[in-house]
Amino acid sequence: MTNHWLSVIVFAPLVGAAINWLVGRRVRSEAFIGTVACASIGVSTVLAFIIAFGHDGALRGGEEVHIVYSHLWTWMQVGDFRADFGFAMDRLSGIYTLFVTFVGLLIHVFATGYMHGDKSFYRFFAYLNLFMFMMLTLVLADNLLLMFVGWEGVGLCSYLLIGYYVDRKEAGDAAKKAFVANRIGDWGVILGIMFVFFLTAQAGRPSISFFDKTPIGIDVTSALATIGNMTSDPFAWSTLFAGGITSAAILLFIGATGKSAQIPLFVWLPDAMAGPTPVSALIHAATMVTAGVYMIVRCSQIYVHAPTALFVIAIIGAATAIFAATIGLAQNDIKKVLAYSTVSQIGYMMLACGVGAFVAAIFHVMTHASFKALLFLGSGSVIHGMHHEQDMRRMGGLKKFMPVTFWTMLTGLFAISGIPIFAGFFSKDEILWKTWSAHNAAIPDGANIVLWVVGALTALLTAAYMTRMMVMTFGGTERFREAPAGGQADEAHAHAYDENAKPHDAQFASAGDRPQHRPGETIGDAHDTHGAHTAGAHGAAHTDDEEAHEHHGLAPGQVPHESPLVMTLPLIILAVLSTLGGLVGVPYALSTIVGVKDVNYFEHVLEPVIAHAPESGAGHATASHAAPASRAEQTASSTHGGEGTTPATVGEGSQGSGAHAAAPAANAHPPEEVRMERWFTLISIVIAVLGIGLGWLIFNHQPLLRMPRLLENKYYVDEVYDATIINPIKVGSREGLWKIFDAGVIDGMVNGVGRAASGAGSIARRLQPGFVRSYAAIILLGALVVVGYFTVFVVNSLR
Amino acid sequence: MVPLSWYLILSAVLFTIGAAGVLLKRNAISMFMCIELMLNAVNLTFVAFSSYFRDVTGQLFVFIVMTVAAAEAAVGLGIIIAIFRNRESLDVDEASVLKF
Repeated sequence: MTNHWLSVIVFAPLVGAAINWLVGRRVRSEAFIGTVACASIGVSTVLAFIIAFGHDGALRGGEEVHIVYSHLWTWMQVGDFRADFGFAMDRLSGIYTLFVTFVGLLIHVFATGYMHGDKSFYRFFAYLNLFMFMMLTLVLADNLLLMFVGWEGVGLCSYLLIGYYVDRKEAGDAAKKAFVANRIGDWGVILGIMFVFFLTAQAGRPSISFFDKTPIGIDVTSALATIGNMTSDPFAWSTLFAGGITSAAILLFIGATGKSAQIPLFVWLPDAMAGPTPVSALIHAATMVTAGVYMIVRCSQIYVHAPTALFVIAIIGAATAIFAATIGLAQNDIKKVLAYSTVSQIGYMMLACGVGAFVAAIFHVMTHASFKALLFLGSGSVIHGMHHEQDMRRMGGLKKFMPVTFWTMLTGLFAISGIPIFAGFFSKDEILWKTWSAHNAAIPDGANIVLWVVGALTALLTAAYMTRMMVMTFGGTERFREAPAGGQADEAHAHAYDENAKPHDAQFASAGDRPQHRPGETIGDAHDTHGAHTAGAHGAAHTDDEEAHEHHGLAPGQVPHESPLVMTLPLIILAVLSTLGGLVGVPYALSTIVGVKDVNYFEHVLEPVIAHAPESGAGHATASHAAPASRAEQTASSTHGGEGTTPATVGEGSQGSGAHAAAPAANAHPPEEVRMERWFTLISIVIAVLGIGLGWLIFNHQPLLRMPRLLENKYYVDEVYDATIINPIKVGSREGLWKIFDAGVIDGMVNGVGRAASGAGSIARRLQPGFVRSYAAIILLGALVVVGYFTVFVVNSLR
Repeated sequence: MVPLSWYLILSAVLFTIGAAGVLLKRNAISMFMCIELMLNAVNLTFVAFSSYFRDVTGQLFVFIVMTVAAAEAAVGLGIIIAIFRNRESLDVDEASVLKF
């Protein structure tokens, strides 16, 4: 079905960005810029909901899968290669579009409050809108190449927004770091796309499209379906480099490790917190960083044929999850905690992908988008209220001053920890359960238990460090009243406020994550009038604490304040989502406890568009339980699964109803498995409660408890990278490439050409001595040669 | 009847004298006259062959050569006078300012 409103979803933010960039910079009215930015996302959001749930919408439940197309133009066509500039919304991209636009809208609204008073307000919102355009391109693209355009575009916007504070060196450094780390991943993606084309061309149906479609009368076959019909790579480490499906899958996954901040490329995400907090919430928590998960799930047909790749993903995901969670336990910057938490949660999603639970991964992406955006915006609200103080050691007791922020963030804490009813509970529990019960070719026997243990430990740690964050921020004594180092500066700061009699000083607080707005200048002026000693103190405050990002924090006697409505309203909406959002995907085993059957809307919607990991032969009795009589096909394929040979495939679109396991989950739950799942749910709840309890017990008494140095220093990963990769490259570039290759070879070649020319000239110069008689001699010599030639050869030949 | 070879030998002798003069003399006027000598040696060859082959083309060439020689003499003498005015000397070895 074609519906060109789909393109409007994508292009509305671009129009918003253009207006803000071209007009907004001249108008300089925050109301105008904010309205344009929010309205353009609002248009996208409304259209996304209409197209998803309207007549023949992509997300209408039921067996028949609708895909909404919007073919704009043929982008390039060279021989068999064809890439269209076209969008398509199926159920997977539909879900992504919904939460990207909706969460994006809320964050835009929040940002109008948060960025109030910033010097380049228009630039921020132009970038933010541009990001939305790129993200929607990524999600709605109907082929790999256009997806890659969006993929690169969000990377660019991420770079621009991390480095938004152009006058701060660490922001610029962080932006560069993010860009370079992502470039490494993008190398994998582009090679992976070439591989997909190569594989499909070998199969005789070259394509990079996601779907079967017929734009302007030309049939385009789905690359994924083509690969889905191939035979599976066997499970063997050697297949990683064999050049088959597994290699393509691993190359694409390398891209995902870059974009989704997995080991080994996760290092950029914590540094990316140098950007404004709404950016952290939108890009580095809710949407962009889940693009890697999106790509893997979108290419699930490739991955289910590459069990080795899936196993690698599961290992990387689990390792990242626990690795980041332990680091998160020891951070003191409120945004850094959330950053590591994001890395850890994406690790969960990767783990889910790795064990073949793609639906659970997407479910967690969705719930994570709401609760992590909530937590980030909450932290933004705290930072705003604390006048750009980000160090939790200087907070404490904020509950009294910021009740709305506290209560909304508390729902975020419950959601991320996995307390029942809250959104994260269902998705996290689902991932853990699927990990435990993973029996397929991808996961060797025993590995599922190890992965589960790692996942469960991570859940415990998650609950603990999030509780620590909440306790340090909102509980305990009001540490912000204690005069911190550089108190003189803060005094001067306060003085400046009084001097200028600002009604709402928070708007004019400087530093934190936005150093370049007016108050800094105002204060600077005040210093001038107050003489040199305050100016000196002010300078000292800027240098005394690197970790605290040259913040000012609260002045003595000042108290934190609750944020304005534009900031708390998105918090409240997100809190509601974080509380109730999980109910769209309640698993069968849990809904039946309260007597409701078959309410797992989420799984019903997504199952038909997602491929399933081939069953392994060993010990998966459940498959044979799965099929009722009405599903003859499925019986057949699960029998195959029992033999452990045939890869089960599910095509998209036209092939969607074929093959294996498209059955509603309700039919696939034998009683003993349901009992097991309930026990595991109980374990999950115990873990969550234990984590929160432990966190409360430990950190409520000692909020400033010093963490192990290894964790505080993030396992020295940055240092190790510096020593093993960055420095060798630097040294190699300087000593080898520059001094030897550039100065020697390149410059040598250039200079050599010059020298050769002048050398040849100095020889030729001898022909021009300037003596007329020598010229005459040369002429004579030439004449003699010519005449001699003629006499000897030509005359002889004439005879 | 004088045989053809005598003419050619005389012509060769004259041409060699001319060439040697161009190469060995330093005075520009002398060189110039030697060049004329070489031209006339060639003219002699032309005329000799013309007579021998009973073909008038050779004599036509002689006229052309004489015309060119006249023109060359005019230009060449002009240059020599200009050089002399500038340098007060006709030694060609000293006139080497155009050398690189």
